[in-house]
Amino acid sequence: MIPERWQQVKDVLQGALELSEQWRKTFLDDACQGDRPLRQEVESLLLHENVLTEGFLRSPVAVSAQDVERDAASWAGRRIGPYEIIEIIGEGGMGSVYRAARADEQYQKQVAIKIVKLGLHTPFTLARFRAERQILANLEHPNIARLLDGGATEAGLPYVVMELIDGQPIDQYCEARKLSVEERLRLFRTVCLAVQYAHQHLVVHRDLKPANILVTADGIPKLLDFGIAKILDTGSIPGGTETTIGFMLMLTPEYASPEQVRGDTVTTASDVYSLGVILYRLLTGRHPYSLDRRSPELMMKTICDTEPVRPSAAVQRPEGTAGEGAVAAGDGVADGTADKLSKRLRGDLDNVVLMALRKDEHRRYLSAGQFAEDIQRHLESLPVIARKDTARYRASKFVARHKVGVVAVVAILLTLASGLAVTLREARIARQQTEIARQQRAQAEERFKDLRQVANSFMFEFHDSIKHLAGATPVRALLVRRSRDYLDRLAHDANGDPSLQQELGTAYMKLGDIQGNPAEADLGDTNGAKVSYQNALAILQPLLASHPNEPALQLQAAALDERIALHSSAQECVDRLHKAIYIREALLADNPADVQLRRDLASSYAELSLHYANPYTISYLLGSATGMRYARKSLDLRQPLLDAAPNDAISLFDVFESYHYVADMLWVTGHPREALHYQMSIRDRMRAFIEHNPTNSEARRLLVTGEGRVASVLEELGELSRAWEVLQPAYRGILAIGAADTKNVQIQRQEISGYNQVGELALRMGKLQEAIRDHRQAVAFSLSLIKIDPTNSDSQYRLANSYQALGNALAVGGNLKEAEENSGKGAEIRQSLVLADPSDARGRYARAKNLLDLGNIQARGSPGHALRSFQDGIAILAPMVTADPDDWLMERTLADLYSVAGLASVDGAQITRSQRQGCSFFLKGAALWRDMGQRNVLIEVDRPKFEAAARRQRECGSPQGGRPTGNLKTNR
Amino acid sequence: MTRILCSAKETGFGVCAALSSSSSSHVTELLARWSDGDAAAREALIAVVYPELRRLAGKCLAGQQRHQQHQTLQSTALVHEAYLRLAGQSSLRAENRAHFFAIAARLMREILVDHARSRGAAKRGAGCLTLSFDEAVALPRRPQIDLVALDDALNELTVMDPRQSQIVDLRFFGGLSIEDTSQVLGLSPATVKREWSIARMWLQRELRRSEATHDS
Repeated sequence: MIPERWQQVKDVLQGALELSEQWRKTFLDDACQGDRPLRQEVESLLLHENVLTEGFLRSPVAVSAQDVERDAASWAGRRIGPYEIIEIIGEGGMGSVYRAARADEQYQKQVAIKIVKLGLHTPFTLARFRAERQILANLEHPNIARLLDGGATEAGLPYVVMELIDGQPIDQYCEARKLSVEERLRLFRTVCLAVQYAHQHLVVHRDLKPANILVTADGIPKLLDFGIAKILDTGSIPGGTETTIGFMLMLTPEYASPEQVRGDTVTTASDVYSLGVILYRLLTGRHPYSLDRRSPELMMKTICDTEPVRPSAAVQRPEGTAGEGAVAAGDGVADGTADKLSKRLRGDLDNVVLMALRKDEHRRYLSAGQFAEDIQRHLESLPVIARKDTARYRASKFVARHKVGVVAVVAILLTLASGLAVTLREARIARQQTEIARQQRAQAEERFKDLRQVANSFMFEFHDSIKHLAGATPVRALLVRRSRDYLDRLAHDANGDPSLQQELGTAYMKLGDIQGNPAEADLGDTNGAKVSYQNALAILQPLLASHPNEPALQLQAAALDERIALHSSAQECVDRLHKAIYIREALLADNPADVQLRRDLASSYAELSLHYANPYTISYLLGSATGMRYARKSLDLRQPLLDAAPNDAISLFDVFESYHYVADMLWVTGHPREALHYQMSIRDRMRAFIEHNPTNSEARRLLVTGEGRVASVLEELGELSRAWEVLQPAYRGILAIGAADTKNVQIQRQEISGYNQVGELALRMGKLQEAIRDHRQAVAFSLSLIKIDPTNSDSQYRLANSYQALGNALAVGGNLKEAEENSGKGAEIRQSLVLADPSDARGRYARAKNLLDLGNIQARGSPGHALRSFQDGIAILAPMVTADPDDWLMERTLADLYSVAGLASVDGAQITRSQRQGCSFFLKGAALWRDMGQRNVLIEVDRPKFEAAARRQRECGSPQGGRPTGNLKTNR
Repeated sequence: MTRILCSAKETGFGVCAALSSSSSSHVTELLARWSDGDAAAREALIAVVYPELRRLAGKCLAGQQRHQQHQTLQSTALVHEAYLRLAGQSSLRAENRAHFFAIAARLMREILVDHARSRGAAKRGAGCLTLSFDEAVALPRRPQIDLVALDDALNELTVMDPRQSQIVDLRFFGGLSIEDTSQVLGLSPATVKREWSIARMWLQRELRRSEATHDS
């Protein structure tokens, strides 16, 4: 065929190949235009389309060879540096190992020399090799073969010289000596500790396998090739499958971790995984998976996706289903029959091995040291850390049950912190000393990066995994201290590195969260949190100034604004939240599919809604309508996420929150029945979730919070016994959570609210002693919170609530003096809070309510003082009601104030002015009730108050008596 | 060029020892000259590369004749090893490497095909030359390829489409990846992939036809 004709064939063929079978005929009709030979040629070639999938010629031609012998022959007797090669002792994917002797010395000390094969693109440079070699040479451990030297041969092949170990691979050693399970575990534990030592020196092995763990005749395991894989890393090749697979073949796929075969970052966790495979092999004589070595793709899939068979089950499987070349299963283990061995492995050892083999590197043992410790614990018949359940469950057992585990965490933290100090110093020195070779600097920085990652993930991910656990607070507090030290040290070195600065910003923010983000389970350290947030902001602002359009920075700014908001005045809080919302709305518009962004925006909406007239917030601005709007907006964003994943905890928690916020605003604006409807529907859903997730303390906490709100609405509606039914179990729930986690401030705050709410309800139901006891308890709790953090306005606010409520209860009991004293203390605290943040409407409203209660107490003893209190209350509240006429709660309080003020004026009628004043109060009160009646927000409980007010108004002889007026609001 | 059959006598330590460092810098220089457009440099290079490749392959082939172990050595490894021995300096520019592999792949093909022909084992490479097929299990009865027939087909393909035939040389005999091949030939990886697919379809058809002729 002439080239031109072939080109024609190729063109048509190519076109046909791009189409699916069904379209080809039409295409060929069109493309060949009746050129029959052309069409025949193309059709005949299409019959061979299978080459594309079946791999015809795909693998390069291979010839049978004895290259091992050939190499041995060609290398023996040759000199490499000062060493003379004696014989070949091993051959592997990466190269060959020779026995050699130092030729220039008197005594002939023998060494092992590994000469490495290189691929076409292996980015090998001698300088980098030497830098790495230096680090490895520093590893001095009785169970690690020393790296003595290294370099490149004349032909440019890299080689390393190692201590020559005369031993047997660990698996063969165990088989040959028929070691018992215990003996194997002890031997293996020593190996883990050696790996841990290397990790502490920031060296990851990357290719752990039995062939690299030799056991000497004395039974001492020695690890070979530490860090060699790193030296020869082909990391600079773009991560195509071919590369990954190539690297996989070069490594040892049987022992490679999922992240390794995927070509992801290799960390200490990868070594933990390989150790897991080795232990699996030592205990079962088998491999966790059956790998098809012919297909790298399949091997990769197996390693990444297949869950290994439990060791105890693996030993009972018939031969041949296990990994190729497996040592006779079970037989080698001296414990006897397969059944007996299976029984021995079941439970702890299954869990230990499988924990190391987890696909998700974060869910494996935190370190080789922890792995070793768990084995030790098993050997001592102590419970092991490993559980087959989820990470969260695992962590809960870990903290709640095993004090030993907590000690382990502390030990790891200490290790980490000291390792960090060393690397930081190295990185800093390297950065300063410009004369140090570039490679070496890059080296130090790379290791610094590695460690940073380990530290970050450890400090924060570990924290996140235990944060919702009952009883985890002391461990978390320790984490905070360590993290703070770490960050402060890091901040010192971060100048001029934007990525590090950004990371630091995030880290400070997270630290602040743990210290005192009131929206999360926090440690109540408001000041510490503020400092952390401010640190984050100080780092972020210059970054944002130089990169104003960087989404990551914008997001961080939003998150930070949101957090600082919670520690700011009411006005600044709302401003910051609006800012965060503005950023997130813009970003979400650009990335509508970004779920996290959606969640974050929804939580900004939710948070903002709380800061408009929500009575459960301790500081807010007026604007019940705005509050309702944002509560609904948050629900609108969150509901679809829950609909898409009905079992997702976070989505459920989010929707639960939004439902309640909407309900809160319905209640605030005078629609308690509708509020109740919302609360009930989401309550059922949360109960079902808890039934399936009984250990999730966050879910229980949320449910309890919700129940408190339900009870409030019921109480408001006058359905006292129903409220009691709801509140009692919730209240017990809070106490149970609080008792399990005595240091969790968030729970304690909730406990205070719980005591007060139960006390108030008890009082209304005539259970006086109970009420007094509860409120005294709430006072005591609040005081202890204030002791932790005297400036925390939240705690102050709760103390005032407690004093006020205690005052009311005492007054009912007739102890007027003490009652006035307590209620007065409450009012005083509130005044100082209002002065501290004049923008805070919540504080003013609470003060008005406190003055109403105080006045009512005073009215029974000193009516003159009472009127004064009521008038103060009215002065505060009247303009607020004018500003937000929809806020039903405030309106009712004001109406009450008018009524009692009117009564107080009339009762203490020394002068005629009081009579007139009393009548004007009655008039205003009646007007408010009438207005509520017109707006359909007058509930049954309030009807007698309305009627009393109307009656008194008539008694005053008001011309406006019973007739509603259109401009009542302006009359206030 | 005279094709020398590989034999045990010619392989061995002597050749390797004779390879001095001056010859390796010589190779570097030749590669540089060739990439600067000096056609004579290519011939000179072949004169150096061919014996080395042949020596490496020959050793394995000689061993195979004694029906010893069935370890396989891929042509890729041979080519790479030759490269390391002849020009294994990290100072070599990337295009020089590419040129080296282009030559070596072609030479590898000559060596292997020569060997197949010489042993009279032309048909389906009975013995020495085997393929590590991905689908060895799926095609247990015919795991080998008739290298002589492949060579004939490739020669035919060269006339029709020299670029495709070169791609086959580099991929199959040189063991180069798609990426490497595209670098050597200065094509986009997508083009290499496309041409490689069509070439294999065509080659498979031609080999089946030649098989049918021989069998009948």
